[in-house]
Amino acid sequence: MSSYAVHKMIKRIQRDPAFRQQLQQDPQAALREYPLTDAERTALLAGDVGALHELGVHGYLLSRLVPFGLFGLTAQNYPERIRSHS
Amino acid sequence: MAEIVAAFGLPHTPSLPALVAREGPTCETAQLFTRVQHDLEAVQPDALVIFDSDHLNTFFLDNLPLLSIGVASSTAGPNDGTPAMPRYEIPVDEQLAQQVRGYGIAHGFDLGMTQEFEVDHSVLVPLHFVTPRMQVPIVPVFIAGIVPPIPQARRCFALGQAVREAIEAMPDATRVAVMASGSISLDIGSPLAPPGQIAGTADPAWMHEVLGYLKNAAVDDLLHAATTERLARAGNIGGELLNWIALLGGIGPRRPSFLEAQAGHGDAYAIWRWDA
Repeated sequence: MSSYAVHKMIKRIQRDPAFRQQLQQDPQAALREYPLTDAERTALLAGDVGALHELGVHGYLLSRLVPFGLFGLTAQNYPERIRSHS
Repeated sequence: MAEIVAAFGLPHTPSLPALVAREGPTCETAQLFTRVQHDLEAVQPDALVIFDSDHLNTFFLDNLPLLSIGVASSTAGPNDGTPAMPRYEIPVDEQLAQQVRGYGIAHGFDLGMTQEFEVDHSVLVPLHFVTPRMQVPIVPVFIAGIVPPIPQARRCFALGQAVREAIEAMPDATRVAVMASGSISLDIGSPLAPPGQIAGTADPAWMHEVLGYLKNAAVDDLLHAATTERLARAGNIGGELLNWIALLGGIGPRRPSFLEAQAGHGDAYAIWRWDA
């Protein structure tokens, strides 16, 4: 498992409503404090869970983003996007 | 001598409390949990050892023991916001937890520990249904089966054997039930999930195969088949089978007195009783 910063950020999303609000309003700014690679940042902002999975992010944690509707993710587009790089 | 008096295998899908609240006590899921509840109450255990896969809630990637035991006088949860479930306080059998950990370490298992912890849906969904009054003290044995690399099946089986020996080494007459919490084949959020779904049975053939091993108490065949690679193909949550394998280590090659699957969910409900 790599991508520790992404995992840590998703954990915070699950527990911190104010952080979720920041991510809705200005995702680029909200992500700034996390030491993400360019590939991780680009994939997160695009809601590209398939790319994030390829980069080593755990699918279980990625799926936790869906209930919050962050990064454009929905229950409808998630199954397609998670397969987009496999 | 203390002893293991019964064993139970149950799913912990976090949507189940809401499903049963919605569909009522006659739905299949409610009936299956009720069946297990009746048998658990009938054997009147003094304590319940739960082999469990924490879902990165009690532990996280900043601190992830592979095998560990909750040693405290109580715990609480769920700490991950399970829908339609109240917050519970659960007693922990601290003495038994210490005994299992001490015996395990003395016999080659490098067991981690937490003395202040909450538990997530993976412990509390089964308890919500089968011990809703939280009257039976638990001992959570955490097996990190979700974050690769996961422990090996044979190691988890041996851990279950050590748990049994630890219990039987106690001079009192404590009656212990053991529980495995988790699915047989499940993927959540990876490309192995069924098309069009975020979560579901990743590997129906494996589900079928494992149910056959359980039904026939074919422990050696299960241990031979349950390679780390095979579990990975069963979904990114496929490592929850390790909890069932640890349970089998605790009770030996016994046939279940009840076994029913919800194959579409990758789940099974099982009871092992040998008192009747």
